[in-house]
Amino acid sequence: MNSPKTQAEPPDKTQAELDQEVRRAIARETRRSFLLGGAAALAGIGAWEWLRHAPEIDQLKAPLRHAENWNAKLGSRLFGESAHAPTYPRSQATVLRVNNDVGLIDVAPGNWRLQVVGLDRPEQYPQFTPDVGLWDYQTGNQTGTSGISLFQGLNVMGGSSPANSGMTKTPGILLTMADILKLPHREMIVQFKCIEGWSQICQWEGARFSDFMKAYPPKRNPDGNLPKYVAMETPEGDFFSGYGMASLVHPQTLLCYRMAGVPLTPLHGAPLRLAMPLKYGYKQIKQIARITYTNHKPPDYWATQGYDWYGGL
Amino acid sequence: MLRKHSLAVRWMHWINFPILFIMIWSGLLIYWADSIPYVGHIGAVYRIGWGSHTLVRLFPPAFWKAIDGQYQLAHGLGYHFFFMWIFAVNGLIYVLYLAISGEWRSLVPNRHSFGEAWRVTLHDLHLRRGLPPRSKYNGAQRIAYTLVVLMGVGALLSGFAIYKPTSLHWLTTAMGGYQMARLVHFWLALGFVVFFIVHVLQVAIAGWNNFRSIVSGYEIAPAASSREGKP
Repeated sequence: MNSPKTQAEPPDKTQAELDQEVRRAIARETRRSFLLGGAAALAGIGAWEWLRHAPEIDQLKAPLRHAENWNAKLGSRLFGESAHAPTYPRSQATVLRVNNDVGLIDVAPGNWRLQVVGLDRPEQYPQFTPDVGLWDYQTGNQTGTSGISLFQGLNVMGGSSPANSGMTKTPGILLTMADILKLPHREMIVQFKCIEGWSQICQWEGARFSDFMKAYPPKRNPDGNLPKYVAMETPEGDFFSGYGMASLVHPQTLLCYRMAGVPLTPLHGAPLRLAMPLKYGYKQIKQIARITYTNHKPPDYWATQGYDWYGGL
Repeated sequence: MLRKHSLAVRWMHWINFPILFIMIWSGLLIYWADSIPYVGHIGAVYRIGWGSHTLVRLFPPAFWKAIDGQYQLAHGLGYHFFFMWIFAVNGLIYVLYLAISGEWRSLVPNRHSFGEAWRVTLHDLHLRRGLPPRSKYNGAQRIAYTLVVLMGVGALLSGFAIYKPTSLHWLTTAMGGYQMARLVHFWLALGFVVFFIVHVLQVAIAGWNNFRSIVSGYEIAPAASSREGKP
C-alpha cells in the first residue's frame, strides 16, 4: 500500500506533462468510481424503497417478518431452548408491574375451568366433556353469560387449529384449580423481561408445565412424537398465544398461581398464568382458560400486532 | 497518484454507512418504548445523572415526534433484527480483512500515536502550526478508527446480551446484567453518532483529494523527491 502507481515515464517527458498525465489518470479513476458508486447507491435506495413498500404480514413488512421467523428458527436450533435463566435470592424479588389487561375478564371464583384439548384419549378422565367450548365463564359481578364468544379471537384472527373451528365439537377435559394444585409445587425467582425494555425480578409459584403434561399427556403423532405446538387463550379468546413444545417443557416454564408470595391478583392473570424466562413477557399469557396441543402453528395476539411470534430470549 | 484505500475497504465503508444509520434509527424506535414517563416508563437508559439526581434527560417528546418515533416498537425490532445481520457480517469481514491483508498495521495505534494524536488535536483546534508527518493515517486517526471498531465489537456483544439474555445469560451477566447491557448498547450508539459528526467534519476540512480516495481509492500526492530533479 501507499506505493506510487508505476507509470510509464519516458525520460523525455517534462514535469508539466507528467502532472497532466496524473491528473488525467485520476480523473478517469474518479469518474469510473463515482459512476459505479452512484449506481450502487441508487440500487441501495431502490432496495430500501422496496422494503418500505413491501406488503405486510400481520402488521410487519414481509421481509422483516420472514427475517424474524428465520431468526427464531436459528435461535431455537442454536440454543435448543435448554438454557436455564439465572435465579436470584428472594430478597431481590419485586412486585411485577401491570402493563396490560387484554383478554382478562372478571371470572367468578369457582367458575374458572381450564379446558385442555388435544389429549390422548380424553374420555379416560373423569373431567371429560364432549365439548369444552360449552363451558360458560360467568363473571364475578353479574349473572349474564359470556361463554358464547370463546372462540371469537381465534376465528377472527384466522386460527388454523382444527380444534378451534366453531362448528365442530371440541372434546377435552375441564380442570379446576384443585386439579392444578395437585401437581408438584415449584418456586422460581427469575428476571421478567418486557419487550419494551424494562425488567423486574419476580418470584413465581406454580406447577411445571412439563409436570402438567405428564399428568395430562397429549395425543402423540403417528410417528410417536409430541405435538409440535401448544396454543393457549383467555376465557373469551381475546388474548391468545402459541408456543413451540420445546419452550414449554423447559423446567423453568411454570403454570403459575402465586406471585411475590401471594395468590395471583386478577390483573396479573388469576387464577392461572404462564411464567417462563425463556420468553418475553408478551408470551407469558395471563388467565389461561384453554390449552390446546396441536401440530399447527397457533396464532398469537402480539404477533398479529407486528411482534415476533417466537419472542424467545 | 497514490493508492490509498483498497476496493474491499471502500465497499465495506460505504455499506456500513447507511446500515449504521438504519441500526441507530430502528434502535431509537425500540428505546422509545422505555422512555414514556406518563405511563410510568422512566427510561433509565438515557439519562445523565447520579443516584436519583438527573442532570439531563435526553430526547424530549418533541424529538420523538420529529423523527416519528412513537409507537413503532414492533417495526423498530423488525428492522433492527433484519439489518443487524448486514451490520455484523460487514463488520466481521472488515476485521478479518484487516487481519489477513495486514492493513491493520496502518490502522492500529503504535507507540507514537498518542503523542502524535495530541499534536494533531492541537493543530485542528488551531493551537499549533504544522501537522506532524504521517503515514496513511495520523495518530488521532489511528486511535479513532481503532476505537470505532472496538465500539462495533461492543455493540455486537451488548446486542447479543440483550437479544438472548436467557440463552446467553453468561454474556449478559458478563456485561453487568440486562439493564447494564442496554445502557452500554445505547451509549455505544451515541458514541457512533459522535464519531460520525467528527468524522464528517474532518473529511469536509480535509477536502476533495481526501474524500475522493474513499470512493476511487486514489489520492494525489506531491511527487517523490527522486523525481524532483528531472528536467
